[in-house]
Amino acid sequence: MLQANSAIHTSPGTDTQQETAKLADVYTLLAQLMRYPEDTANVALLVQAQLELVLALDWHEEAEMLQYWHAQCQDLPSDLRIEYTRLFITAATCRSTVPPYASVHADSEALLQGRTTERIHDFYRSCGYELASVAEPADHIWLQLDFLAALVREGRHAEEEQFLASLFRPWFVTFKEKCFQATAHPVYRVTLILIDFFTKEEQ
Amino acid sequence: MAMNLTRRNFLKTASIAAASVPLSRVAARAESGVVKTPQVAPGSFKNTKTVVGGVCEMCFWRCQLVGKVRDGRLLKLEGNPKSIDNGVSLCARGNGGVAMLYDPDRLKYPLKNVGKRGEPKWERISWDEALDICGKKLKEIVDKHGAKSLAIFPHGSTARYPMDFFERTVGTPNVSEPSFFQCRGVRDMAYITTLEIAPDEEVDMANTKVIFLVGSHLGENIHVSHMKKYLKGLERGAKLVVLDPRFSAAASKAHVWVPIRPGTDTAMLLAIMNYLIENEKYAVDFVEEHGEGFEEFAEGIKEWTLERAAAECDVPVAQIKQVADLLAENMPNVAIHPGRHVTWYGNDFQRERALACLTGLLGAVGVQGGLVKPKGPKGIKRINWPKAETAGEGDLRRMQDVHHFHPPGCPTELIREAAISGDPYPIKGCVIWGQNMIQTIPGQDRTIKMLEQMDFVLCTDIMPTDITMYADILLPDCSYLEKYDFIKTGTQWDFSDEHQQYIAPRMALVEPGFERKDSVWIVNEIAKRMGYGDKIPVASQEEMMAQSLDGLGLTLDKIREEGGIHIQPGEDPYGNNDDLLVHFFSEEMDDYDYPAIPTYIPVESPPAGFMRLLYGRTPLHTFNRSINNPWLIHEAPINPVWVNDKVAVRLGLKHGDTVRLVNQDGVESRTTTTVKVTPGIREDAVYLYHGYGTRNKEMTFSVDKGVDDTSLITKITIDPESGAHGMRNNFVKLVKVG
Repeated sequence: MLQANSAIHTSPGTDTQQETAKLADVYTLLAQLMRYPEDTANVALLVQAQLELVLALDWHEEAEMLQYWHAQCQDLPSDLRIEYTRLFITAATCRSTVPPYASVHADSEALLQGRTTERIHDFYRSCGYELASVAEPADHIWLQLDFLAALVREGRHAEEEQFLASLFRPWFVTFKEKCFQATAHPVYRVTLILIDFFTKEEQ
Repeated sequence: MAMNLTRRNFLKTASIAAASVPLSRVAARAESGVVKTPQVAPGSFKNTKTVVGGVCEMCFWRCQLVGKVRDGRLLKLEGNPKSIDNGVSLCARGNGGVAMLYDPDRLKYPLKNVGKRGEPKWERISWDEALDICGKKLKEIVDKHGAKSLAIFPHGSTARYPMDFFERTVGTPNVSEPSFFQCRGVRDMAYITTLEIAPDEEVDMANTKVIFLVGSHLGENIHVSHMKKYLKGLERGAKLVVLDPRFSAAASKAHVWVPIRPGTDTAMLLAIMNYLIENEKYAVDFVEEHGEGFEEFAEGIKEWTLERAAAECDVPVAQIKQVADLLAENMPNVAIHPGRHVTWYGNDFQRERALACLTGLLGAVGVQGGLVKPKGPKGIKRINWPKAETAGEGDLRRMQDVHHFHPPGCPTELIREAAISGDPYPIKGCVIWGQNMIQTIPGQDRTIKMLEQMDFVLCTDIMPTDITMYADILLPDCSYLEKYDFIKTGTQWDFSDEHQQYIAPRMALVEPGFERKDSVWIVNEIAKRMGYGDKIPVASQEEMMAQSLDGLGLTLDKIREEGGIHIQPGEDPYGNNDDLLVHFFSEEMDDYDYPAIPTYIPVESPPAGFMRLLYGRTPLHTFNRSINNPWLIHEAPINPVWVNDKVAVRLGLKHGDTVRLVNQDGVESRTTTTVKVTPGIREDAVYLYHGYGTRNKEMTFSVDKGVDDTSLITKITIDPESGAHGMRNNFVKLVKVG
């Protein structure tokens, strides 16, 4: 574990608009990292942005993990696709999948399209958002992160906080723990740490 | 990670500036998963609708359904109130369809195996890539070795269209359906040979005087309208006779339970018939009018005295006589049930012939309470792929001149053997559609060996069943709740009611989730890539349904308006035996050198210290098809092994002990189960519910739960007439664990 970073410099004054834009971009990055890495051209951009974000946070250990993986991996898109498939879609024989849907972790029945899916979808709509044409249920983690990005971009922090507290964090904590048990892949481990960092309640 | 850093602090820092540019680039390229729409007040999407047109496929019975759907999400399934078949009733499995639809383990996207067969490493790929690979690989195999080098193992309504394509248009003869070769095919062929009727399960139990079941465990084996017939018959006073080594649910309701020695049913049937003939207690006039070869038959079974059968079957003489007299007293209104899954001992054609002969001997065909084929609606057009001139070339069964009374397709064992040996030709491509061959076909090692030598294996399914671990490409099928692919027809279940017919086309209750596609779309795309684009018979599943219904003057919209089921006047199913022949002696069988009268062929007895492994159904599962269903597995999480109480004492086993099973070849069950100690099973047998012991870890609700009985069926027995597998000729002992 790295030490608290004394090198981080807090800017004098508060530029809320800038912070909001940055946070929205961070949410978008995290959403993109939690999508299936289909677009080969996009993969390099995503992993580079992830690394830059980790370096900006001064998270040395995580940065080293990512840099090591970048250096070792011969085919980043393929490596990510296989790991994404194994971790979130259907695993190989040795470890189990962790479905990235809130209802599977939040509802007692652990099914897709459960009560939590409906509540999340309703929340989107109550905020004036609807799913774009995607084949995924509304509670896929990348859709929730995209929704958060959209809220933040509009400066709707109260709704962001409400969504995080009532619908996102309760299942994400469990999801993250399960993923940590199921994967050693730096990109997904670091992504989950980042999501945790950017969504947890300020202390 | 910095411990005391917060998001707010970080966003205020100058450090983030370094990440700003790449973050902005990502944001600029990203396509959001959510879009701005007019704000919707909570509650606007709360109108639950009833969607009609569902046809269940949790089992093959296909009850008619309606779905309660809210905001595109299926909340509940119910029997369609318009149904004259299952009515508003659904079984546990039917209700469990919701949990199947939303099972997180279901296949969602096309997958490519970048690992090895049996130990897959999956990569999600696009449909285009998946279909390109399938088309290219299958075409290469056909071009190199001919159409016969493809083996197709289809199952269920989803697989009919692909089966027709590969069998008729590509032209491979190597098509084998487990629903025939590991289930009912033997029955159908034996009845066709004897009565010229494929019986299905069409006995008029609701209006009968005696229900005669050989191994059928109705009540554990549940199909709604079938159960309605059975229970109505009992309610109306029918007597129930059950031959079963186990005190099954049916045995518990029986007037006569015959705990027969496994494998000896044919001996008892022959003794019953011999007794009826010797005492002129059979339907003499009926036999005279419709019987063929009766004298040879009567002479041939003379040796089967009650005493001889009693010794062979381990049943008292008086009980066999009691059963025979009961049937005679109530003929012709007796329901001799033909069974369903009848591939037990590798001598099953003869047993089914005996059942058909007994039906004929009692005149129980086309009469109230007997074997009665319902008169369902006619005029539904079957949409077919065009048949190639070369279709069927290289038929293994014909080449070997065996199994002359085989069900449609090729006996599974012939395909498997040819694939493993390469003799008489290589079989290098395999298409498996909607079935888990690991748990439907005995001899798992041989199935795996067959798959390992393939150049290409394609699996299409809704679940990651064990067989899918051996696929190169794995495609996600729509489930029965997400597609249009079958037209269920029939009549009212009780023939004493007003005669009616129904037509119930399957309609999607919800949109397909994720990237699942229906089999018409998938096969058409593969066909185009294999060079058969000009042979495609229909462009879509909806078009196939429209064309099928066209001759009846019906459309999907019209039937939807009618509540999902079209009802029309029916016809009296009784009578009309004018053309009926009962082949007590089959000249056709004689020509091929099979026993021409029903013949008892003894099966091997359990070796010392072993018990015969029997298996069957639980009402909560349709074998492997429903085993991962979260609701159903919750209710029946394992398959305890039934052990006779006296045997348990001898073995030092108590109820609830954990055991492993070991078979006569030393094969151990991979997993364990618990012991159910009961007087309700013979000492020489144990019993398991079938379909448990899933090995694929992606079936997360069912993996490693219970014991896979098929893994213990290593001794392969083949029914000579049909080529079907016999699956109850293996023996096990129990080893206490812990």
